[in-house]
Amino acid sequence: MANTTIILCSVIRDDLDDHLRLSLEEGMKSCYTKHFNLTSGIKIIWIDIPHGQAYQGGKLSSTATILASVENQLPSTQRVSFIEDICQLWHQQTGKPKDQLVVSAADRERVEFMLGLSRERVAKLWRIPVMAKMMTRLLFSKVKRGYFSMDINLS
Amino acid sequence: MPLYTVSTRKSLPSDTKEKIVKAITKVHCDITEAIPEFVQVVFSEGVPLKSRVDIHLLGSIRSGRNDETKSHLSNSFKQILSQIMLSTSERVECILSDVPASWVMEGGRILPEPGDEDAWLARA
Repeated sequence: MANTTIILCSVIRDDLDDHLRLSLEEGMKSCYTKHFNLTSGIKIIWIDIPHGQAYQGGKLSSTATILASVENQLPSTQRVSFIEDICQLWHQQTGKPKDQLVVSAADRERVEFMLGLSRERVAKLWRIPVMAKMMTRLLFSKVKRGYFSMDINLS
Repeated sequence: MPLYTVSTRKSLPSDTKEKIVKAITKVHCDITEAIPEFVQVVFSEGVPLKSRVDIHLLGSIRSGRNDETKSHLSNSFKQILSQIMLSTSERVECILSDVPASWVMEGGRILPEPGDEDAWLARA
């Protein structure tokens, strides 16, 4: 994981079709190249949230949440410039108004920490089977659709 | 931001989800004086939680709140969620993780630091 740059995109299932997702992936990778001269090691994972499971302000929501990892302690000006480009990309390509986009650029080690917190909610006995199931789903979607995706539900 | 992920073993009925969403939003805003419109809650179902846990809450909140505030948040969440789930506070697991406001853009603008919301809204 140390040299992998992860981007987690949480969206409502069926909100964005395959073509749009792949286009967004190309766009996000271009942002990494533009801002950080990064051309490889970028892994984008789509997390599908079924209708009825996402809320904002107390109401059902279709907000897309993008969590992009960047180098640790990246200067603020660079971080904000990168975030702005990602946000603009999504706004232009999806047509989503900016109040339905939440874009974060977090230190790589913080992203790994947060993924660890998510893993730790699972009972120890089940962590390996759950990880194996997630990996299978991710690989299956990559083969079938061309991108890594999984459901927010683990069942 | 904040983003709260609620994890349960089984799927929850819609009305239970709505109660949980309202409770989380109210607790967060009452304690932090944040704006309800920004409070996100998502549900993750089918999670094999630890045996002593009925419901797990993972919250990403803006950093800058002191330990007392975070403790108040955590205890309040445990209390209200245990009531909704007909469980006990001990069986509610609540983890809060800080995220610097300057790392997050919502509504096309970088988030304000805690306490600067009014000025941020005035510029909207």
